Amino acid sequence: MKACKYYQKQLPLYVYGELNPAEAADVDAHVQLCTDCQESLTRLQDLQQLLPSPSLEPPEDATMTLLRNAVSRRLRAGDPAGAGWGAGLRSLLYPAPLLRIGFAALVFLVGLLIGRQSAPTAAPGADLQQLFSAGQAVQSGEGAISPLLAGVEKIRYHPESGDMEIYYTTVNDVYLKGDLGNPAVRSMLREALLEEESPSVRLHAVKAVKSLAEKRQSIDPDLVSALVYLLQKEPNGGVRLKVIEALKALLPDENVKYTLVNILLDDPNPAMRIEALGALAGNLNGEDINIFRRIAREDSNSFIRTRSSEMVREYDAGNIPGSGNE
Amino acid sequence: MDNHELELIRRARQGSVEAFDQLVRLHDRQVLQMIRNIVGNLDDAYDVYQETFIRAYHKLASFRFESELSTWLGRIAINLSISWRKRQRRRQWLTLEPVNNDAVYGKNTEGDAQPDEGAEGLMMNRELRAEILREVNRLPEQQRTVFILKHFQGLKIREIADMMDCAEGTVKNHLFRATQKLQKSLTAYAQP
Repeated sequence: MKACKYYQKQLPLYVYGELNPAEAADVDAHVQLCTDCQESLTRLQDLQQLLPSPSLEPPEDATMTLLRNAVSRRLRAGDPAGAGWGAGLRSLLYPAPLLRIGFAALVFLVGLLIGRQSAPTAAPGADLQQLFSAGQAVQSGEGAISPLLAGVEKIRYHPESGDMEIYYTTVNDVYLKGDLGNPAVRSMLREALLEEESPSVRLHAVKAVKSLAEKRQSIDPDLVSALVYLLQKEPNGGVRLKVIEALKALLPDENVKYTLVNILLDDPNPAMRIEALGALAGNLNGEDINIFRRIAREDSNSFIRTRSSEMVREYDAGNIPGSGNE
Repeated sequence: MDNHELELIRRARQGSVEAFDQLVRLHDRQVLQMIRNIVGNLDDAYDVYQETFIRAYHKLASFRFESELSTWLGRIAINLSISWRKRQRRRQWLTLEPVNNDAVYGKNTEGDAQPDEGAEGLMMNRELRAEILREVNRLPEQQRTVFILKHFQGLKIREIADMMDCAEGTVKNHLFRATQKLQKSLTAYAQP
């Protein structure tokens, strides 16, 4: 004779009509004899009666038409997956056509300058939609999943092995593990940088990219562009500071330098400006130094003025690599 | 999956938005209902609905015809809905008021007290239902999803397993645990 525990597990399936006739008859017979199971069955039936039945009112036709049109319009406009969420950040990725072209050119230049490190993903200079393009399904801890079908729960980076573990926000405990040379890993990192709502996950993603940048002195152009966008739009100061550290590792790349100079000149947060200044120190050339001469004279922040003056003096004295007097 | 649907998938994979529009029309009511049940309110469901189909379009090349298209779409919808809930939870959104529960899960006239039970019984049942729905929202994510797909969506265990990409036994286990917890809260509420 089967134990009550067995029947207790069968009861929800019985109530929801998931048992075959023989199994249902077996449950019926047991319930007649067992008070505990009888009470459980009654409670389950109460639960069923108490909560609404599965038959929900179907959405109105007009609503469905509106929704369908919205999807169709977005697809025809070339809207990438993910554009509906966190629109503030992603709106930057799909700005006016001129800006788009400008940024595509930037990605292309970065691609040319720092080169590609591993298996190809999006071609440098490709449409920005590539940032959100579908990665291949990847083998993970518990089977294959598609990287863009889920958000990121957490990221772990192992500096010794260079392995990255990315845990997804899915119904299963699924994670992706691999070297940062793996395009799928990089794709998920971009996803985490640009789409992830949690600052701590974004921070871990930036740290991982920073480690990669420090190790290789160059990274995938798409990751660079993701860092640049993050720096411009990230609301969390801690994450932004870490982005500047990551970009520092990519200097003297001209586009990265241009981004940091812009932060130094225009950012409303003095901490960011000081961090950018620190990152730029030691990476100046003849053209940059004039900017720093002006900052040393005119900047409203006394620390930045003082530090810039020092940097100019060091440059003039030939103490900075690239200095004309070296 | 009939030939018409196969042809639509083939054309959509080649980039035809018109063909994809037709695929959307074939499946979107069920998808929307599922999303609505999981995310818990209609406004958010509309956002997740759009995201589901936009992603499905971009990912259609990876559809391997190993399941029905509706199952594949359901899988995307579930994952996005769960992601949505987690993001919303970080924003301190969770509580479903009784009035919203009716809007989300449908008005349950059967569960209300009969007219001859009077206003007190009616109120009692409404409170109880609200309490149980709050318990549903407190369930661990996987148990909650399974319970919703089974109870509110009326899907078969096999379908749920396909959509959640796990074994049928796992689904049964989640359903058992979910109903156990809900039964406990039902008992606790009935016997204060």
